[in-house]
Amino acid sequence: MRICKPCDEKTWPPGAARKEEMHIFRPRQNAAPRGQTTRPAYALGVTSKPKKKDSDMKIDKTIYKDRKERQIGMTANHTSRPDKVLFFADPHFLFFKSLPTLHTLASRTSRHTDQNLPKSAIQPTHKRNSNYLNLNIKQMSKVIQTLYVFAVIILLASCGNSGKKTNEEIALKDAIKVETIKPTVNVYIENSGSMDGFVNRGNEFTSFITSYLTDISIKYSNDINLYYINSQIIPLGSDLTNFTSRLDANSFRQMGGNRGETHIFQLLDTILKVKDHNSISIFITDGIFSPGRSRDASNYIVDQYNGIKHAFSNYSRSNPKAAVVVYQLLSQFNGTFFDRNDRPIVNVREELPYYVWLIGDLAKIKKLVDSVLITNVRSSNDPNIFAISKGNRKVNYAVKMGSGNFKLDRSNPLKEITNLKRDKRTGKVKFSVDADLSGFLLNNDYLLNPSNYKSSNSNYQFNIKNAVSNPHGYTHTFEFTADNVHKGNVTILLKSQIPQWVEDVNDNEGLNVIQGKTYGIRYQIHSVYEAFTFNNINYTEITINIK
Amino acid sequence: MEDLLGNIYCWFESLFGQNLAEHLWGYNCVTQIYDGKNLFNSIGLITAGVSLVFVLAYYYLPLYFFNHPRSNRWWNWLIILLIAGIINFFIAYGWTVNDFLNGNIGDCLMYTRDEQGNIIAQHIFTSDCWLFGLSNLFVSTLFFIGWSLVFKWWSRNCKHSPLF
Repeated sequence: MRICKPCDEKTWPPGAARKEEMHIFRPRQNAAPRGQTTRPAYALGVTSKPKKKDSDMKIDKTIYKDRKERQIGMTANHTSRPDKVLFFADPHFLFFKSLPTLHTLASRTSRHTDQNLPKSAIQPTHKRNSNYLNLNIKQMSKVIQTLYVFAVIILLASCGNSGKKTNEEIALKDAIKVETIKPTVNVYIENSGSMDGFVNRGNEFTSFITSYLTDISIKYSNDINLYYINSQIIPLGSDLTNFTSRLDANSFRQMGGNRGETHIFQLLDTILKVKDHNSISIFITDGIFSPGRSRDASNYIVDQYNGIKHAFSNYSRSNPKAAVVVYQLLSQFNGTFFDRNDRPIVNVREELPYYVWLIGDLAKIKKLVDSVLITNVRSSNDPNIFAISKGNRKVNYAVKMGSGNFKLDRSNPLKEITNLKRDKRTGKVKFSVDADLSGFLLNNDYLLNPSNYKSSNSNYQFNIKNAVSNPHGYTHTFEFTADNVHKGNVTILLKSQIPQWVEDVNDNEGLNVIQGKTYGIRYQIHSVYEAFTFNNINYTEITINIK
Repeated sequence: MEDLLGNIYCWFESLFGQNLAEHLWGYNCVTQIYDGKNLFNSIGLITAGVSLVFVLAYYYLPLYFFNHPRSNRWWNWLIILLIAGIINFFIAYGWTVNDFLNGNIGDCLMYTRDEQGNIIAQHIFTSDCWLFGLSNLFVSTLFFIGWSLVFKWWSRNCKHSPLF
């Protein structure tokens, strides 16, 4: 076997076979040396067979210059062979056993034949069938080629723009949008007659309202809409300065509405029906039921309780991330107090509670609570807090590495412990669990109080403390101890509970002015609590498996 | 099966400590799961390989002190075992002390911190790295004995070393 040398006139050896190959590789230089015959043009294709056995291997004689001009290949006149050859394979041939089908049947002439047989036995006998077969093969080839083209187009299309990437970009934009749009704060101040005693310039109430709304406009959102609310909603615009300067009984009276009765349920129901997902509502009220003279107070208060419960139940159902915070604050009251029968008690000078309700989406409320710390607001006087949101939320937690003599289960190291043993130094079994409880509207006192938790395994005592600095966002650490190893699950439930102050400030009678107490407040808080905890009374649960 | 070597090393965990063991298991303090490389396997395989090389050399390498009629003594075998063990000792020490000095051991395994992030206790020291090296010497010894029992029977000169 010989190899063709580069196409150089000086080194070109005589010989028909080499000339032929020269023609094949370099068609422009196909002039044969004088005195030698040239092959006809139809014989110059790449399919022409070499004359000699020793010339069947060829070397591309394309010079660098040619290559530079022709970077893609296959299209130029001086093409010797393609730079790249794409082989498109029908997957059918790759994965399935080849069976004689229309497009896989070879023609009769191309079949392997025994050359010793007579010619008649080798050559086709049914020309009509053979032509028909060739026609079908051609049609099938066209179909397959078309399918290849479609397949290539689809592949290119799918490679060029992955859906995942697009979705990520959209999600990112949405996330930024949520962060940049500040929520609207709708402030509703009850202006019924019983509130007149609170709006005395310079007292705790007016001082707090002014400071709180100002802090909100600075630290949280300056998109504030102000309203009075009694039997109807009375818009006051958005001018905070004008509003706070007119925060007095005269202004209350001038703005009108039915100021004679206070139906807390109707007020709350009106606020809850404001359908704006980018807003939160702040409702400021004395929280005193005023059924009016014609109604039986005990029946009325039960109706109000059921009404509030129903309203908040609907609200939490339509807003799964809904949350409510109630601050109970104290202020000097100076004016006429109305008892449950709407009997006026004049010239009352007493420190009485009033309430600030925050209603809205949990994340927005949480942000407001964290941005404008109620304890830092002037005249807040260490308020009592009730907060509620939908329960059964998942939180991040993990067994704390090195918090005892145990090993973490390597398949589930966050939540499973193996080989738990007594600590050599203390002689007790112990382990700790870090948890991120920052997603709740609960203050740290609530979260650090063991009575707000319930353990499924009484063999392990536990206490809660603030977590040490960590990069995972864990806020609290549960420390478990036991005298012996008890295998199985240990589950801690964070209970949703009504704080004790609700009972402490509740006045069941509503017939006299009692310092620091409000008639029927427990009904309001209980109705909200029950609406939110109808399905689940636990905020979350933490389960550790001890193997 | 992938935990086999780690479980062998953990026979000696009381020597080098639980926290270093967790690092060697591949515990990642950031993700809080074992998604790091299982270094017990890496070090264990190297240890097994070094032991195997020395066992094969002792029984089959036709050099003085290896597969030689004069080397057919139990203490010759013991010397080779100790050489392999010391090499593995330094491999294990070097690997762990390198991680220790370069800060490759997770913070949660290295220290206990208070709420302000100040270090109140350190759990891993260089002495633990030495002790892990010692543990690897023991593991190397186990491998050496095991390989010896496997490969001694076809040795021309040391078939009966150290015993049988």
